[in-house]
Amino acid sequence: MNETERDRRCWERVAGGDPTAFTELYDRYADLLYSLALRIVGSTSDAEEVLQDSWLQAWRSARTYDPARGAVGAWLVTITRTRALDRVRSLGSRRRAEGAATVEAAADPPAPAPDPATGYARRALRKDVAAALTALAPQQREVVELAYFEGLSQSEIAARLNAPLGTVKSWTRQALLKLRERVPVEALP
Amino acid sequence: MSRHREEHLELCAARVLGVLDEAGERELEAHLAEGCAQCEAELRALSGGALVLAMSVEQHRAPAAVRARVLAALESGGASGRQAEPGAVERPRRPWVASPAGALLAAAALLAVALAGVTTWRRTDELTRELGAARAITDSLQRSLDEERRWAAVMSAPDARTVKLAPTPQGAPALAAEVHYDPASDRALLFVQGFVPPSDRDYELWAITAAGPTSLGVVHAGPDGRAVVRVERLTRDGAVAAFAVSLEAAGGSPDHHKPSGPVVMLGKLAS
Repeated sequence: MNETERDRRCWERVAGGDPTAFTELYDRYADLLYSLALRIVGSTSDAEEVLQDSWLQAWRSARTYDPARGAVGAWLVTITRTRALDRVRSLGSRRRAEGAATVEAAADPPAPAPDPATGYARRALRKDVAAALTALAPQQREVVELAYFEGLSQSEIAARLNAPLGTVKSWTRQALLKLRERVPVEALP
Repeated sequence: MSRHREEHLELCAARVLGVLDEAGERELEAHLAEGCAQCEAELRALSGGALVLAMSVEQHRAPAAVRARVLAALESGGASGRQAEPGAVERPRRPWVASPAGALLAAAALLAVALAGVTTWRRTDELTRELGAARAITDSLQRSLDEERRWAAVMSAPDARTVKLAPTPQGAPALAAEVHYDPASDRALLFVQGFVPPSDRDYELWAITAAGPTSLGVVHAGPDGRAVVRVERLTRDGAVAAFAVSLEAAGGSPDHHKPSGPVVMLGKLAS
């Protein structure tokens, strides 16, 4: 059974009211979602809020989640990213202190460690992900990062990079496809 | 059917990143509604690419406190109501209808009761969950407020110290920065203006102790060049003698203890 299938079954148990299934999923994805939120909002206290709100939103919409529209992991990532970008917009300013954030995060008591099997798989995956990013042309990487992490529209990106809108659109697509090609399908959440 | 065009693939990419404008969304939705296998496959592939981006961020441990809060919110509100059997309705003990019309009427009445049961159960379940979520939100707002108060206290703390950073000859004259440091909480607030780095560059903040510089992170200002940076446990590497800002390649210096670009601002902490 691959991770997507395992998550789907787990979420079915969540929708059926099984709290242990929710805890299982939480422990599998909380680090990823927290790290994503932190990358977008830039402060640990905001990232914590985003993480908490995202899980509560996922719980509230447990019954409306449709597996046909995407894997559980991808759905959780989308919820978290959207909430994080909303938070940045509502804060009005993008304050970030990545160094301070690292220290603050490290000061919290550690959460339960992931099981060794997924730990190994995750490390291998992380290597593939890093390699996929490095392999992108710098402009392609910049456009997708500005869109994904900053929530900038393609016109805003074009203005910021002083590049034609059509070019930004084609860079965006090429970058996403390249990222996808370089990371094994079955490894994605 | 609207013919598939190359531009549809670009609309797919913008949608996956959540940056598709309204007109584009309408066009793509209409195109997909008519069934386009190519765009559907494209959306799947592009979503995979977006996930790779999500996984590319530096990994941090999610704080255990959040886990506890989320699970507590679920326990207090959501989980309990979900175990009940939906729409359990007692059957009448004996048939009270004799005619087919009566039977139909009875069936309709039973159905109505059953539906009402299901609706009531769902509503209760929803309300219980909403209540749990609302409690969690109130808690989280209270925590945010407390947190903001603690940060505001940095400015008014009796022993708080202020350091103005001045641009060095390598720094743009428009750069302005001020650090407020509260030794009691070991927290510092940095206010910056004019932090608009050249493209592909970032400004990085440094604390300088007897052991040398330590990065406090890259400063990402808004489009107006302003930002407020919060620093926890400032003196974790020893007493801070000065603050500095360097101009680095995008993402900051690869060495956490050494700027790789020019130092563009400097401010010494008066002892």
